[in-house]
Amino acid sequence: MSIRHWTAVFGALLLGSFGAVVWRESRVPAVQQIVNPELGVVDRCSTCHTDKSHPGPWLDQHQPERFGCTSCHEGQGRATTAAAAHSSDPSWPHPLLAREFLGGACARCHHEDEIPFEPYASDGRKLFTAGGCAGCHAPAVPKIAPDLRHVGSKVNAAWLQWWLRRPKDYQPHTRMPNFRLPDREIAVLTSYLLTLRAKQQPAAFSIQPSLEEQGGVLFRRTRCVSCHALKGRGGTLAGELECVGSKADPAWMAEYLLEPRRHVPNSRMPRYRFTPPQARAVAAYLAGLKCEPPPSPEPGPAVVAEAQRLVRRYGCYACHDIPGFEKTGPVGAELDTYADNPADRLDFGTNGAAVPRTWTQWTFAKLKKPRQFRDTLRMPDYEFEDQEALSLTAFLRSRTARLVPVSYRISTTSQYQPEGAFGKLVEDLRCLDCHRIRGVGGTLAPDLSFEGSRVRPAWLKDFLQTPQPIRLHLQERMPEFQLTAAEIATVVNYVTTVLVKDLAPVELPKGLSSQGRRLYFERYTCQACHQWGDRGGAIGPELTPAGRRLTPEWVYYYLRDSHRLVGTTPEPALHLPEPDARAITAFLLAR
Amino acid sequence: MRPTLLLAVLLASACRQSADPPAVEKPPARPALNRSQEAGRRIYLRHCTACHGEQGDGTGRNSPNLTKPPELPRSLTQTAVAEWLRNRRPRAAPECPDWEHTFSEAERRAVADYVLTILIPR
Repeated sequence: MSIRHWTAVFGALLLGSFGAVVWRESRVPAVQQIVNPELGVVDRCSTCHTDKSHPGPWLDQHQPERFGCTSCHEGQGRATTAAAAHSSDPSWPHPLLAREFLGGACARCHHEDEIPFEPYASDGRKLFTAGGCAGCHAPAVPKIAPDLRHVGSKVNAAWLQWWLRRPKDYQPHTRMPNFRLPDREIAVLTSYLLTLRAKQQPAAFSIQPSLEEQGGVLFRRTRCVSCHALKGRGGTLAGELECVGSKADPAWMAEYLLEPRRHVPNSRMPRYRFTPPQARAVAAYLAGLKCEPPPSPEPGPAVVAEAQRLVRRYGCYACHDIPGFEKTGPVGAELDTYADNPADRLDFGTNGAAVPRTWTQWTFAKLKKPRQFRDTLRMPDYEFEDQEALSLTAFLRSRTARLVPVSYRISTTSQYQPEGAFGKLVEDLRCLDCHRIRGVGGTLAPDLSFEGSRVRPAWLKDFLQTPQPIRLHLQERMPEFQLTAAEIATVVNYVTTVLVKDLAPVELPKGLSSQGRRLYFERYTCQACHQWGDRGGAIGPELTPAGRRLTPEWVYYYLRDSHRLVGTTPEPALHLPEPDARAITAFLLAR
Repeated sequence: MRPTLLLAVLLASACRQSADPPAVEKPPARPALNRSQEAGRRIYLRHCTACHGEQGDGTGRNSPNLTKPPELPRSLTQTAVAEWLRNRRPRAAPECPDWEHTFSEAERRAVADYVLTILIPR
């Protein structure tokens, strides 16, 4: 045998056992590792995963030499065999994550509202807070459900039974889960809740057809459908009103409309400044919106002790204020380090549910059917869709004790809180339910962070007096709050002094207007979305009256870079060249 | 055998196992759209539906205000959509605004990913 023969044999062996990768890169295999003590990463994945391509844009921001692999994919980075590294052994705490749940790793560092390119974990986080999970599982949060201390003055027995049997039958979008209560418990809870009455019962009044009609007009004029739906049409910020007449007492509704936070201190409804006759009219109209509740057994005598036992057992007080339970402790398991549980520490129960023995499968199954593992479990059924349960599972995967250094955390948490007279008005009118200022508030209405630089004070004053719709196609409208002159002055003063952005003044030489008109219609075809005169689309606001509303600085810098001023605007970031922006501004603001 | 060679062979045999499908569990359910498509969907809904419509058939709320219905061609590719968002040809569609500065490259690809799911019937 020649030496050449042995070289060939050895070469073949090498090729066979090291794989083509080693051969191609012609290097001696050795343990490759990435070490980052800050993140607790010692990842040897690159010993075998020599292919440097990685799908998606992820590695642009998350350099492997800094983040390693297990920061996102989990798994056992220190392992030296493939089996151990990938292991999904039920007793190991961090098995390799399926692609669907990688968002959980994102959410450990990303605390902003929308995690870039991770829509599902962002949704999961929103569901966790808005859906009320925190009530039982992270109890130091404000209660999200209505205060029940006066509920007996508001609702009747037939409705309560209907509601407790299956909340989504009455209110399809409610956050209240289905507790799957047996009939007896429904009857006991109904009788008990009806005993929780206001000290002073709201004064009853007689309902005439003329009053109802007048209420209907007020209901439409106030644009209640901006938040409430009526027969499925309208907003989703507040409840569906189709059957509200079968639920709430008209006298109670009249008082509520006058002063929403008298009976329900955590109510999110604005105080509309109705006069008492107006409030009675709207209540009369709402009382006419009736449905037939399904038949249910009469509630028995109030067995207070048994009812309170049920309230404690199901943890109703975690979301609702109920007298006598102000200091009762949390009812659900604490979830801050939930993702650190290995699968064999989870209770797969005795009911023979065929759920594969992994953390993600268990979590998903629990969210879909919370009581499937044992009959004695009490978590209610949220009737989650698959996608919602997946999003929540992904988010829950971020609940771990593994510390993320501050320098890795990305957060948009804002502490903005309006103060003084303006702050009181914002609270009273609940402006931040719809509008957003400096990262705090709703997304239904425009972001007002720089409103003082956007609009002219004179226009703002008129708008607050009689809000004229700016975007005509929207169903949601700014309500008419019947503000006093002093209140309007407070708002205008605050907006023009605090809610501003430094924008250098813009000079608009005369004679630019006709050039701007050409650019508007021909070069940039703005009329596709913004109406001018009687021409144009209706996606953006009509711009004919823009001169009265907008300041030249705002228009100019908005055309230069709209997203710098309003990050969430649907308007494209146009980045118009300076002379074009100047000409269009001159055209739009010419009087 | 020399120790380095032994190590090499051991390591190689460990690595060879990675040729087997990794032990990643099956998810309990899959969302209808993958992560990129879903991110793209949200962008599309925000910026594009008004004219192009939810199905890309040019029946958006704003399309009657345009000179012709902005239907998306059925034969688009991912590259074509992303390229259009980067470098629109004004003469081909004068009313479609310029998206060059609005999206990052990754966002353009995400929109393209989503657009393909609505154009090609699954």
